Amino acid sequence: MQYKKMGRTGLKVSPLGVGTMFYGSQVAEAEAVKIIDLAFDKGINMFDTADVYGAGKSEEIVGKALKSKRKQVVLATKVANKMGRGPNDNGLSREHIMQAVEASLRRLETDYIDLYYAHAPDYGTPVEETLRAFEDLVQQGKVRYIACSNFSAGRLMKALWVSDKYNLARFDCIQSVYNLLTRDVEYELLPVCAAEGVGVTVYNPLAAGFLTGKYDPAKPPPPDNRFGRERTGPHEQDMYWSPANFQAVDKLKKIADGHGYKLTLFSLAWVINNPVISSTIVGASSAKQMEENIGAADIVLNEEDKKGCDAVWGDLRPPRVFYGK
Amino acid sequence: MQYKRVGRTGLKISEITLGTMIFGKQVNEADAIKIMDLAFDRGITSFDTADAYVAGRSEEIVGKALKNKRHAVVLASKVANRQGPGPNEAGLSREHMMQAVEDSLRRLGTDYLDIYYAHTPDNTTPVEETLRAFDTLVKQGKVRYVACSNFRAWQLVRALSVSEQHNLARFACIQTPYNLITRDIETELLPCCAGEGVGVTVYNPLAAGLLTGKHNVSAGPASDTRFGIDKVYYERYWSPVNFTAVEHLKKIADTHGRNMAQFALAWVLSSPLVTSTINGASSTKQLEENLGALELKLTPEEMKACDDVWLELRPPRFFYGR
Repeated sequence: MQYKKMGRTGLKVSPLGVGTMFYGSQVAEAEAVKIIDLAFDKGINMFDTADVYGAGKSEEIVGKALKSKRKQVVLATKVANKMGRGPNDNGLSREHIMQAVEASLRRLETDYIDLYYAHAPDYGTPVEETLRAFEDLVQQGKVRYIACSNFSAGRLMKALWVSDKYNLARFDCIQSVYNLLTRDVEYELLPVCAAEGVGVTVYNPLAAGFLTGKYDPAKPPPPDNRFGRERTGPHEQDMYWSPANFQAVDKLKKIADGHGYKLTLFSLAWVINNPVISSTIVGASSAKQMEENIGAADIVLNEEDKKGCDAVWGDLRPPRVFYGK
Repeated sequence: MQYKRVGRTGLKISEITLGTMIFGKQVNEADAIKIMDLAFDRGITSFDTADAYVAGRSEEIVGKALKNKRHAVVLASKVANRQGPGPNEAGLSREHMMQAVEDSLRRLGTDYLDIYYAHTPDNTTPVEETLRAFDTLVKQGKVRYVACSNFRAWQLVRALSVSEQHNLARFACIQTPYNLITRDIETELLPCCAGEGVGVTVYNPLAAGLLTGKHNVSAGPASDTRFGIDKVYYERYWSPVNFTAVEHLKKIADTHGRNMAQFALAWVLSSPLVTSTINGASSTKQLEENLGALELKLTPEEMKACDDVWLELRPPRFFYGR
């Protein structure tokens, strides 16, 4: 496995990361451990969780599975989502961050987090307060690198500015959605990451599974699946389940078929191939699926394929007058 | 006419700015001066030109027309576009800026600019060099406020951070396209301007005239309009989807008995984040008509209908920022 630098930092990460959002819910503990073991054996060092995944269950399983390999992996978790009913049980205040990090460390059974993300912006807390709290965690040795997720480009740039101004740890990485059907990050976010040396980890590289190409627009999504489940279905469908996306998937399938690639692997390879992307988070539901997906790291897309993908995106997002030159 | 603060600065400008891009080309000098006089009489205090407009002719005409009211207006010009064949005759290097400002001042017949814009980002010059040069010009009294145009949100915020870090003049406002069929700035750029107190001056509020509703897609562009004269605008706005959108917008305007151009201008003027809307009239009659937009207040129902038209042009997709 070819490791990549995370942005301008010295930290090296595998181009694929293991997503653990469904551990303890859709993915049983035993299978989760198998996935993690397999990924580690194949050279993956990036493991991504969050306090909110499975209400803490994901962190517990990940902690257990990584116990013997803790020093060799880059363990990432996140803070900001609601963890209790109190007014300080979510967000990016110093109050919540200090509490949340202890809870995550306990569940992960470790005394440090390699990469600690602000899971979402908190408009009720000055970014300076958040960065000061993060800085203290770095000084305490509880966190090694800090990062953010779901930030706009402007907000990321502002945070980098504040870190620079007060000599605080800075967001060395951002986790963002990116896939063949969701490329808005290319206008503002990826350019600022490239310019500022901020690493990028990608979630939803397969558009929550939509880019497996296994869905039928004529049928409702299966009830035991992300798009069909009562709790997550409406939200996930809102993001991806649309006639335009189904058409796009048909076209992408043809491009992938041309080389005999499965759409899933082709789609992952497309994300991994982007030099600005540090690591692509894949949330496999079985060890078998994980092994298959790791194959994407070996696929190199040619210019013609990339142009074909660009054309599909051009149909989804017809170019309009853009404000920036 | 309302006078609004340019972002967090103390500078106030009229909510309508006169654009002068076609002065010296589509509009001859005599007509241009009439338009400028009318604008001033009607309360417009903000005038926008650039060194690149008609290769300096626009600045010359604007300078002449404003001669006896120079102190009463806010005069803006711009630097970055190519002014000659040499390697240092374009961009945002100190070398070019120091030369360009002298040329602009000479053509404008003045010894200071109220607002000096970086016309477009220059990826071959560190933004620190540009801001240091701007700061020098402010200290020399040649420029009062500095600004930028056509920057992305992150480039703007990055520039603000560099200004603060090195205690340099900072971009007080940004000039950007914004109209009923061009609203991409709402996701990244406008929130940054609001957060940082940066003013917004809007160009192409009528999408180069497409939003007047007077054009006909099947007949093609008339030779005496911007779409017929300048290929840039034709490529920018002349498209079947835009014509469909204009049809929808026309219906909304008609239903409420609005003049289409005034309706489109009033929509831009209604945004609290927009400091001033740049209007480039080709005749005094057109300017009079456009000024009518100031009397218009769009209803929430009209605003919602406009949003629906935009959503058809830009169907919402999963956005990365929360």
